[in-house]
Amino acid sequence: MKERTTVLLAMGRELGAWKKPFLISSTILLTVVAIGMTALVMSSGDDQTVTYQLGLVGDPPSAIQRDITELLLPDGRVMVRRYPSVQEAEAALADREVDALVVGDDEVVWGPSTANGLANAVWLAVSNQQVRTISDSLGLTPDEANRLIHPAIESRVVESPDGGTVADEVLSAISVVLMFMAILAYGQWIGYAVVEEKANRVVELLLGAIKPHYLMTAKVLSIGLLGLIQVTAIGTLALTIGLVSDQLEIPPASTSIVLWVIVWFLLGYAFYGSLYAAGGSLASNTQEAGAVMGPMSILVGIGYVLGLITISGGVDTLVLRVTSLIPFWAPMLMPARIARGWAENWEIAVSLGAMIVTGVSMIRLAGRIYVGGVARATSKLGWREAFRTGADLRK
Amino acid sequence: MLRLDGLHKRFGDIVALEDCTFSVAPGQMLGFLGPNGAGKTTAMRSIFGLIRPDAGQVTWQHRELTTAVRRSIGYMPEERGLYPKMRVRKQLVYFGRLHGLEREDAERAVDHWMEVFNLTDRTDAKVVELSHGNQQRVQLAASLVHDPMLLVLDEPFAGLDPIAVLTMARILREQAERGTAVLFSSHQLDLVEDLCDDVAIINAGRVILSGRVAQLRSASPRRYLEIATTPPVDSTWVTRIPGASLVELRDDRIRLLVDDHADLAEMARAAAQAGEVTSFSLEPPRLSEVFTSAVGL
Repeated sequence: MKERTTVLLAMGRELGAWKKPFLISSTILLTVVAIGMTALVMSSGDDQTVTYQLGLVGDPPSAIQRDITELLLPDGRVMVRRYPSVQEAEAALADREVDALVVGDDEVVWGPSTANGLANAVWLAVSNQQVRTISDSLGLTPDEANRLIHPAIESRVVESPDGGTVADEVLSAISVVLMFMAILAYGQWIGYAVVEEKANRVVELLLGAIKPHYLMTAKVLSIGLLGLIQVTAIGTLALTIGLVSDQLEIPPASTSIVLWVIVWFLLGYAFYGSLYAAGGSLASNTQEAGAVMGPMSILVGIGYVLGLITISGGVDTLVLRVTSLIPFWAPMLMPARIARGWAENWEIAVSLGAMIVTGVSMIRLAGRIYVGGVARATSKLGWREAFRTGADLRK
Repeated sequence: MLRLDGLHKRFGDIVALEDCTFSVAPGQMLGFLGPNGAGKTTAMRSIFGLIRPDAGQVTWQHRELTTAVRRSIGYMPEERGLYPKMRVRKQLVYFGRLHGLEREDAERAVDHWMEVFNLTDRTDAKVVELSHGNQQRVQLAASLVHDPMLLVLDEPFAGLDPIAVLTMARILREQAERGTAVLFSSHQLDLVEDLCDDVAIINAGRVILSGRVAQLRSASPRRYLEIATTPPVDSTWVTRIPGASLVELRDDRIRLLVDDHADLAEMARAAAQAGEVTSFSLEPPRLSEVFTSAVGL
């Protein structure tokens, strides 16, 4: 029988064994994402219109009221109250009955409830009225008056070097969180799957039929496949809700960012997955497994924290640039830097090269430790002892 | 033929195997005996590559064991190993397929062994839901499902009730008759004596005795005299007979270890005076007595 067939068989069993936890966790995660996204969409889709109370004293021209109304659109509406005297109007302003006052055609009064948006609109509307009055007195046409107020100025936008849009920032955050969750959760699944087989001694039966490193490969591949499916499902659901509700603007670079996230997930998962498999093989029960896998989870966690700092800080620091090249943290940090537009091409190439070289070495090293670990049915083993045993058995 | 040839293995200061040599031929059932810690499990694990000997080699049909050959071996580890939450039939089909069977063949074989072990009503049960005895049956079925050419069983009778012991003994005998080489370890020496023609006794990592059970018994310099009387034996006369020492006394039966100088005629006379002698036989030692003598107990 070909080794590929045994690997596929072992993968099939592994997928069957993890089906239930996978379905439960996927259901929970998808439900949380669906509820969260729907709430986000609904809240962003709510009527956010603000109604301002505008007090008028005297007889301001109707153009002022019209300008204010137009300037406040689309989020603001204006309700007008008229007062016979300035004193009464100011008392109403002080009591927050109105948010601003216009007295005649050349005076504005602010109160404690005057919002910036309203203040700007009122100020601009009254200013426009004054400009109209003055231009009429000077005999200017409306076009001449308009050019005087709004001279033709060429404008363009230069992207900030620290830049990226809000969407880039969101994608960056999603990539860090997804990477952290997927690597940590599925890495630990591998560790526990290994220790479970070792603890109930079924591994001794298996090793009579399948070479240990193939058994490890089957575990890493099958659980990784579940991880990829779950990550893809979560991403697809979130995007679908966003697109269907027309509330999400997909930046043009997002496709390449998503591909980078997938590439880094696969690399990071292979790296950490084999490390977790090796760790699991050192333990003889699940309690010991927790202790062995703790330091690995801390390593993943460091990448996560650094990734979050990346996003919230908005600055591509030297520490970040260096750590994103180190394979332990590159899977969390490099896609985040790519999403923010910070990563140079050479940095991506170096980190990818380092990740692939280190990843292959890690898989070989972990495979050797795994062989030594699962073959020793005794209590908790040390890394060195497992490595020596593994090297001995593979001679 | 499976051959373990001059195996040496040390774990730190502990010598687990020292020039451990024995073989099992197709159709042969070899009882592998030894006190706890003698090296039985280490020797068996070396067959599956779970332990690499410091020296010596394990061969099957004069060739080093490969993964492909190991797939055709049935193994029952000392610490039973099954997936507790996996259903019995599914699990056995999986093991059958891992050992190279096509799905249909594996399913057919599993159905056969489920019937043999009287487990047809538990095929969809999870292993953890089974009684200890039934788990043991499933474990043995896992080692048999791919029709192995060699069976290696570490303490297969441990923890079984008498009926299960008889069933398992019958199955092992049938396997040997079909030409399978059967190697099993056990502390139930009377059972091994009934079941096996051949044994290998290991102590402190070294095989100190091996061969046909009958030959090992007859080769022993010791002889045992067993006398049955009616009414029950009075043993007081034994102490007066030179060259005899009491080994076992039951209601109607006495077992004596006698040396070369013992006067059997005198013993017969003394026994007749104590009661009516219904049986008087001089025998070689039982396997258990050969064993205790060999390991120095």
